[in-house]
Amino acid sequence: MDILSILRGLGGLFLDPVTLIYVFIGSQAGILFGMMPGLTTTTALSLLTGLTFSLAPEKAIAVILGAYVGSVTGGSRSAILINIPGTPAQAAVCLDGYPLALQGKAAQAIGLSVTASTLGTLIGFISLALFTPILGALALRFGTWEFFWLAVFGVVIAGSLCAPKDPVKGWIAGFLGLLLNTVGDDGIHGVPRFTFGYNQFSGGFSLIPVLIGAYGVPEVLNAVRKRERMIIQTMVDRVIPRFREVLQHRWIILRSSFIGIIIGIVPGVGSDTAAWLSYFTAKRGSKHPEQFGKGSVEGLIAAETGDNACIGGDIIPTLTLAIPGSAPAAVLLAAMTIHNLRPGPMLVAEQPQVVGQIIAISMVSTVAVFVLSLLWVRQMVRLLLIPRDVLMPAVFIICVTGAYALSGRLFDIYIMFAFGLVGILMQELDYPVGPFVLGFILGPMAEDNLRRGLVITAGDPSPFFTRPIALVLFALLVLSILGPTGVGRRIQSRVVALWSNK
Amino acid sequence: MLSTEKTQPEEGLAPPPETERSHGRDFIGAILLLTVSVFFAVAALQIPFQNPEWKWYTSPGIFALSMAICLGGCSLAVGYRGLRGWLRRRHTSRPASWREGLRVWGMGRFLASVAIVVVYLLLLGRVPFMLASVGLILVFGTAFREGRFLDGLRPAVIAAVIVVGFSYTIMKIFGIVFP
Repeated sequence: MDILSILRGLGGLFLDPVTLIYVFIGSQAGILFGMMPGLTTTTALSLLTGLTFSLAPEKAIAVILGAYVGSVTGGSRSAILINIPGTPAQAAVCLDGYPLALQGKAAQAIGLSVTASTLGTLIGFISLALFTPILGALALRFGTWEFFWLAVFGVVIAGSLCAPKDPVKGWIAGFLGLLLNTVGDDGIHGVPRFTFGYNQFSGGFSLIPVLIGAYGVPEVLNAVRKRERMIIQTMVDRVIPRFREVLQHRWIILRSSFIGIIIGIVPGVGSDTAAWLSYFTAKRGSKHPEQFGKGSVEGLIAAETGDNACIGGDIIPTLTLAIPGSAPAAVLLAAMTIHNLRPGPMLVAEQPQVVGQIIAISMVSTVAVFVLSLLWVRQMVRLLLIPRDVLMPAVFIICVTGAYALSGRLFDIYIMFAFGLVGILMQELDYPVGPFVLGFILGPMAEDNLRRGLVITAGDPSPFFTRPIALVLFALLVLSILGPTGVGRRIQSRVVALWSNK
Repeated sequence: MLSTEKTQPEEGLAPPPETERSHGRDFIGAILLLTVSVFFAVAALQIPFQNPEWKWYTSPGIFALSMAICLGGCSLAVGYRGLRGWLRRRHTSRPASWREGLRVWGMGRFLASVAIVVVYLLLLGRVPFMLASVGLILVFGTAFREGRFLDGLRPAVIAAVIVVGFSYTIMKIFGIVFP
């Protein structure tokens, strides 16, 4: 894939006004979803994947990518205006966005956050264009053994990073996802597993109902459970920020973008981590750290940029390795698979034009979101006035529509609701949902590659530990397990002690 | 200018209390997960390891069994930690009223919303999708309303009309046949 593929993708997009319209529709839908408290990016993408199932692949991907960028950017609106993050990633934006709004600078805060989001997203997508061919070429050296370790490593590292205080719970969530994925006919011999004679289970649990259930249903039921009233009186003045103001914070934008991209590449870790890390890095490097949390423009820009740059980073491993960088990227992966675009090293090597098209759509989506975010600000804010008790059942019906639309089975709606209850239980017991979903997605990859690898070697597991890349991945896996535990800390202190004695 | 007024939280907004409740939660969660892992492990063991069609390493149950063991092992660790923490703290901390805890969490509203959703799901396929959906929004909007009945009904009717319009559009554009 080269720059020509992207340019060709851009050219193709501008010559196809229908796809361009779909980009704008997806972007606007994403902004709406993002700004509604309680509706996450993953929910938005899961719903749209179901609804766009019958569209042509490039149009469906245009809607989904537009919604991805839109929802991440849109979440800052409610964070700034009512101190409730539209998506979890915007929690860091609340810290300075809301105090700025209270100081009468709501318009400035919205304008700056949208601009920072746009720049962060664009930098993220430039990195996507740069890194995808490199990682794609490396991934071509991967065999079945390496892909097995990669899947397991993805789940474990997601567990460690999504539950930093208690990584064991993150791993448990991942294992649960991997385990539940085995329900249904076995992929190699076609033997039914854990179906208990019930035919509906033989196809296993479809990914989209599981995703909508795990992310969407808990949001709906939790919003009804919580009783909270808000009255918003707002008047928004000049929204478009001044160029000088943006230029003044160029280093924060670049640094936060870098953080966002790196966090995005790590499997399973979402944009919320990127936003917080960017925020704290900006605070540490600021000349006025005391202003953070009281309406610091630096804090607002850092959180927004890191959050959005993560999108590009998220998509890199999704396209090159078929390992999603985050839950929304996992939905993107599922959407691409549904439309017969199989992400992975072969996609990059054999269909560079598809990758170019995806990058082109992403870039146009960024511009679309920028334009749409600065238009109709006042009207959009009014949507926040809809009572949650009315909004949430409407969202639930959209969830039902999304789960049902894919295969037209009532069973999928029941699965969605069951996984919704599982999601609530996990939240209440402090188990992260991210690794669970990632385990669910990477389950087939882990299982198929483990068994295929053993078939090739007639049951000899040594290639899993002797092939160079497999060995590196295995070592990384061991380190990521030992690192957060007491054993890891003891080894670390022993090494430090030995080193200092020398 | 912008001003935002938030009322005091009544229920459902309390942060989860730490200390012995967290340990108790860990223990209960571990028991649930352990049950799941044992269930899957037993079911996986019923799939033969050797068969004319496969060897042990391609057995359809091998991966599920490994995952069930990993899940069970980690759950045991969390359960043991939770139990130990609970036993250590049970004499030092004041026993919390579980009834009050459930009220603060918003259990009443939660159970009511789950019950309404279950009825809705049972109705799907028996009554037209649009009708059931309108009913769901109206019931939610009025049952969990703030203030007078009419104050809840008006936005619920608007939302119901929008959702029906949206679903109809989706049905026509994408050719989805709703139950």
